[in-house]
Amino acid sequence: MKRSKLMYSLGTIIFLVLSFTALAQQRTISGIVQDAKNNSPLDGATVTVKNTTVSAVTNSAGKFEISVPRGRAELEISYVGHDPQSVTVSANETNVVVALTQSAQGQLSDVVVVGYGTQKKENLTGSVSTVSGEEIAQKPVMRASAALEGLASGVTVTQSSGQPGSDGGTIRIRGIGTLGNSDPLVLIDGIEGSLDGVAPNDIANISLLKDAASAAIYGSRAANGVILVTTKSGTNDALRINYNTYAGWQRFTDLPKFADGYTYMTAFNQAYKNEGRDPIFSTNYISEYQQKYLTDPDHYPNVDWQKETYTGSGFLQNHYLGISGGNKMIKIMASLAYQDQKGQIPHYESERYSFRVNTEMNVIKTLQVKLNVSGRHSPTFSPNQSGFDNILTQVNRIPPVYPAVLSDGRFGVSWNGQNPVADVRAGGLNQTNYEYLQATLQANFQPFAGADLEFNFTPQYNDAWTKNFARTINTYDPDNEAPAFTVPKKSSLSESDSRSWENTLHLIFRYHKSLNQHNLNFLAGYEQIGYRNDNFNAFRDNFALQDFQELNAGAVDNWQNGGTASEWGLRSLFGRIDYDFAGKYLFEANLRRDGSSRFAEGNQYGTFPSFSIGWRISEENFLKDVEWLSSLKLRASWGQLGNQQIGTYPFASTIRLGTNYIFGNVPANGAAQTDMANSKISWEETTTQGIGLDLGILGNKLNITYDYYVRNTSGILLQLPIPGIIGLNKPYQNAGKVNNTGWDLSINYSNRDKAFKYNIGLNLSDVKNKVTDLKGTGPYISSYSFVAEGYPINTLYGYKAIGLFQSSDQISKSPKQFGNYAPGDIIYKDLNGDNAINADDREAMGNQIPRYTYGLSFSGQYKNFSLSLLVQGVGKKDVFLNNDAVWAFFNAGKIQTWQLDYWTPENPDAKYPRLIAQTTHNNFQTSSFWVYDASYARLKNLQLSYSVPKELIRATFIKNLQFYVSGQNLFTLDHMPKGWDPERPSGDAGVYAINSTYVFGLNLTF
Amino acid sequence: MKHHFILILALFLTILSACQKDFLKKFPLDSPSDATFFSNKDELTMAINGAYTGLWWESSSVPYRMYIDAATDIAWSRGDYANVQTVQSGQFTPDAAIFSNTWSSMYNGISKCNNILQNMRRAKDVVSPDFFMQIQAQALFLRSDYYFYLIELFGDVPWVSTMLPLDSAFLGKTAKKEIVQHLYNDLDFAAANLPVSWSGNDAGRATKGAALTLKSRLALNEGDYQVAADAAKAVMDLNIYSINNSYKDLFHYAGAASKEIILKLPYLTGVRTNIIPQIEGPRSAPGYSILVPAQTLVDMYQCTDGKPIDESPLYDPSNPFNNRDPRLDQSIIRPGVWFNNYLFQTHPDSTQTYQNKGGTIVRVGNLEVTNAYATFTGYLWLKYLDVADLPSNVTSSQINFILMRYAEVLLTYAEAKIELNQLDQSVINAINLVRGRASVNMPLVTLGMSQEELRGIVRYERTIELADEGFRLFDIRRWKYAEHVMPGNVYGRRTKAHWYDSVVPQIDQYGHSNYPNANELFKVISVNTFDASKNYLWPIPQKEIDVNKNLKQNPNY
Repeated sequence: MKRSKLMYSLGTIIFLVLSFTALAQQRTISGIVQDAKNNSPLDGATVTVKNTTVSAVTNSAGKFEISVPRGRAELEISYVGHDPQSVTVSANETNVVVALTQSAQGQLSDVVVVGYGTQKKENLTGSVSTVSGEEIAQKPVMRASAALEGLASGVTVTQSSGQPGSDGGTIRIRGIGTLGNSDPLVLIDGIEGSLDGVAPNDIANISLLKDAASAAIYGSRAANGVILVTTKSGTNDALRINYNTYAGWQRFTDLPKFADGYTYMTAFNQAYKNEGRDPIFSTNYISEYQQKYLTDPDHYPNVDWQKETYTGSGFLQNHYLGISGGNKMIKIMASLAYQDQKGQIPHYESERYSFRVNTEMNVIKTLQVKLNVSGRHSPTFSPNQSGFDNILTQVNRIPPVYPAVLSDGRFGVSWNGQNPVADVRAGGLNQTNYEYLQATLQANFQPFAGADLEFNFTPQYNDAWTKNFARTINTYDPDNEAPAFTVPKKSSLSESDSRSWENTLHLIFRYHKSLNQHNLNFLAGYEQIGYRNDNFNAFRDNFALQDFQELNAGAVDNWQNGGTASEWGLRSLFGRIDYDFAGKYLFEANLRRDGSSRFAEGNQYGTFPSFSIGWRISEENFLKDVEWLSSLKLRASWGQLGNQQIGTYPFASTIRLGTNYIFGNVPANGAAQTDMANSKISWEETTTQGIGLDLGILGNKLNITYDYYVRNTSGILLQLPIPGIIGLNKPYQNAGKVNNTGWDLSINYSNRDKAFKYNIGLNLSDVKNKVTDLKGTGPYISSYSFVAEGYPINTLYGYKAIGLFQSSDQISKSPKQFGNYAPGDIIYKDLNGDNAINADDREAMGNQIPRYTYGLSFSGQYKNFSLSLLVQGVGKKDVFLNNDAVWAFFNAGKIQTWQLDYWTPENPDAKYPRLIAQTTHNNFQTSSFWVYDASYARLKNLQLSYSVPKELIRATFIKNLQFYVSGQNLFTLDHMPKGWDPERPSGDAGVYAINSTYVFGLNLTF
Repeated sequence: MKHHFILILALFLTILSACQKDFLKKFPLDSPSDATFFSNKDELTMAINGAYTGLWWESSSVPYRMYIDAATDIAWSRGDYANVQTVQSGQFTPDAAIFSNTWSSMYNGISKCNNILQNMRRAKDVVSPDFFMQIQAQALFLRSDYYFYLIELFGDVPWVSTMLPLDSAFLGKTAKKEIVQHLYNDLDFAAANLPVSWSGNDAGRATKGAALTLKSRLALNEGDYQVAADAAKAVMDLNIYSINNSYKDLFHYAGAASKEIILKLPYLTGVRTNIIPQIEGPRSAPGYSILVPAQTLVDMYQCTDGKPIDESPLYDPSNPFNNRDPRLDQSIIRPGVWFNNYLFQTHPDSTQTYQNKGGTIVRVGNLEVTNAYATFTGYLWLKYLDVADLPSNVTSSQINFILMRYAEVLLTYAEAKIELNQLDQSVINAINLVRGRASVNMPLVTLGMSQEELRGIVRYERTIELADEGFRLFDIRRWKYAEHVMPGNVYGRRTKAHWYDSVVPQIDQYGHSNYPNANELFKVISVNTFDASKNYLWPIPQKEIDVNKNLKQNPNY
């Protein structure tokens, strides 16, 4: 560690020395950028010194200042919706006026952030989608990841929970390439980070690198795609202050509907009768119940557990204050943001305080230094659960006939004292604080024309501190004074802290050379990342005074603690060459060599190349005269990527300490090997080939991008099931191959010529996933899914339900099913014809990987009003639901109203089989009966905004004022059973439901 | 221009050369490598301690050894906790978690032992020969215990005695008889090298007596009666174990240090606790009354004259709990007794009961009636339910679970000798030590009794004496009783209309009670089936079949 510190200081010193040699060679140019048509100033145009990263942005008067090397300078000016332009400024000129022409190239002229640099969109040969910061910021979601849903083709975002703090989206770029961690690499200003940790308003733009050609420069971390987030930087301008805010409410999109107490008891008794058992609820009690449930709810409860538990406000608010400005020496963007999201269940809450200061200094003409600092403090809260199951499972399980709150205000015993209403109103609290601090020092130095040397050092500190206090809750029987249950039996506090340091260092050399029509860009770099995590935890119980929720207040007879640490390192060399001839023929090659500490010596290094070519056919003479064709480009690419997401030490075979036993009534230290290691483990490799087409028609009003790709992953790092007789946990193995074949299509039409300006966009993607090789092993079966050659990853797997038995006669003629069964029970198909149903009769029964994902967006502007909406959906997907989600009386739980359409001889076409309350029964085998079509279309976002006319606020200090109303997840079409959102994952009911959100907002600039 | 290049080059080289050479060499910071472990006394001690943890074969903090009685006829488990009701009902598939949990729990334990046995020679030169042998003996003992459960539950299973590399782990089954021979040898080695007792901070390790007890248990199940009798006799000849005077106390904290205990499963706050009181306890405890004794078992307790209730003149169907084998009230909480200061009542109209509040008797609501999930059979286990755990420690009990005790050894000896038809005084003495326990005092057996008579008595003793301790499943398999005692309805509480009916059930040759109108008298709480063509073995877990094609499923699953 010491040596590396020394190295950093050394690097800095060398830079300073270099800086002084170049100090006196800068001069400043100022100018105005305006629209060629009406001479109106263009606010936010980018001015770049050619072949450097030095750039400035125009202010609202279209003005900019920029420092350039002494002598003749070449500036590149670009602005959305306008043709970019190059301007040569002679050695004695200090002032320029640039007029940009509208339309023609439209949005194709944008500059796109790519790995370790930027690229003109028209020159891209890989597959990159971009999302602007505004698209993210205008959505009222707390997590930037959730805001990406439906915005880009080939990018599937699934939001499976609405729990404050856990309601981010799971992002998959072009399907699932691996069986392990499929999360894309997220880089924030070049440094690995959490997308959800960034304040949405800080985001300038997001690039999604979808194919190997664009992502290979990130080598071993890029197999699942790369998300590049660029945060806003300061402007060369007078101070500008933005205040953005919104506030609103969340409501669950859908909730299951449960039968009342009387219906529950009679149906439950019926289920017992069906099993040949005597009923649980006596006829006496049921008839008393009918008479008294309204007058004596303590003894005859009829509780709506959802209503009693979901009493939180669901209020959310967002505040963002951003200040930017600067001069030719220094530019600053500083922001402070606060978000607060309260759950619809009390005590669920997520807050986030974040700040960011991005500073750019022009030290001398050829040396620019950036110092960026950002931080976050994000506490999240949830109620401590007192029972065996989580609060949501309990709400969805406990039948209405158990008391929640007695009429005298005491908590009822509910189910064995596990009372979710008491949990959320009077129970303990779980708290996790995420703390984050990052500082980046970056220096760019241009030693000679066309060259740029970049040094970047970024230390990053992350801390997750959790504190879970379990408070004892007394619950009562109505007739007894003493508590019936105290749950949990003892109050307890567990506290843990996990902190990590991650140091990233990179050094990049870029060189650009144009000669005649040959343009060459060269990049070479070195990067190393070192990571260390330290954590500890402590526990005490029996708090005599439960209001004092600190460790010292607990009893000492059962205090416990633990802690450990881990480290990893990644060291890489990488390079890129891109070349074009006359802007027509494009070529790019990338190479990265990564060394990872996660593999044993000998397997530590992996090399990841990629190549891509492009042909801008529209630049050819034979197409120059085709009026309607604005642009046409063909692309092709090939590349390889790696994956090393397999824990920190999968190769090391170790003895785990702390496997303790008890002798002589005292603890005895123990140790044992529990995990099997695989010292031969090596990189997982993904090879992607693709072709693409970009088409612009009618002055680029209509743009179409299409990509087709084949992505093969081999040597997949997989924890294959191993024979239990080994007696150790399964190791990672390089086994298996997965193929993803798919296409992405996006179509965009915009018309900005008239007073009514609008844009319509459609993105549609499909990916077919298939496991192509498991080395002849498998299938690997988990509870309701399997991994097998020829099938998509985690294909649903089980028995094939072919209806319900209608008669005993039919039963006697059918193959033997499971245990005791009778008319009204599910019939399974005997696939192997041995006249009995057993494990050999299981088959694939559905694909959990979404296909035909789409987003349809519209935005329109008329005078001061604008409207935007986004419809997002999935065309094909299956989910398997079980337990409380679709099985009546699971664990003696309740029954949903749709399940009352159960089979009886009089109701042969019922939706639900004969009532049974035993989950091991024939009907509750894993079967296609419980597989549901999870395709959907959803009005994801709708926003209407009004900008106060400039004339009205001209006299004030306010530059811009906009009001809006916005809604999220407003309306859904789906095929799920009532109450279960189509975005929820397969499985049971213990998931915090997804929210609709309604907000009012205000954006103010002065 | 040139000096810039030199500077850039210098910068690159500086950074590259300054990097730590071991930047990519990262090893676990909290766990030693297995390549060097097992090489000194401390490491061997830690490793053998770790191997004992496999004895905690549990479902949700309750030993399976206790739960599996509810997979037989004598107990019942509500709500399919630990899957035992599913197993009991015979309506299971090889997917049930109990099978894979058991399989992996045992083989995990076996691998911990194998790791020691395979690598302990690293320490041979630095530890005393005695210590070395004791470690080896403990590892062999533990491995034998884990294999005992595998072969007795699943039949033939793969024999694994080394750390298996992945590519040679796809083994087929080894014949049970072959495994049994290995275990006999291993247990002989263990018995020869383990001390008779341990003291201080070693108390509770495997002893010579434990090794011999396990051997006798195994041999009895395998029908190797001479081996069983000899091993049991060797335990008896150690002369260090004796029958505890109080049967009841033996299973409570008061009996923790009893000389009857040969090996126990320890629990201690801070290391591991259990939730037995919650699983067994009455609603008022507050417990969940999940694992409960069956009516069938209650009817099996003979009268104090040593006769079954349908034969004894002492049996009064109106006062069915009078004059019964004293172990009934020392094992089971039945209606009409006080427990934990509550009067235990189960009649549907007893919605209130009495509580003793520091000497004052008060009328309070009776959860054992009003709660829909109070004990379904109307009885509760008293064994392992110590009031000291109530109410605060129902989910953090330190009550030890007895793995081996002297009474079992005596009954094993007796059963083996009876099957060998060697009916000598030693057999009589062994049975009478158990029946003549001070707090039990059932009529003693005599030398003149026939083999058939003694066989009946020893089978009765095993059922009653060892109830709630996890022996019944193996007993009804060994005696081939299962197909007779398992199928049919499981009866719970009486129905209100027939609550006071005076009915004396017929007790059949398997000790089971048969009521003429059982379905009216009792609530049916579940329905069992038993298929003798397959249910004498558990199915190999489906997961294992799915992953290893060489492993064949047991017949008819």
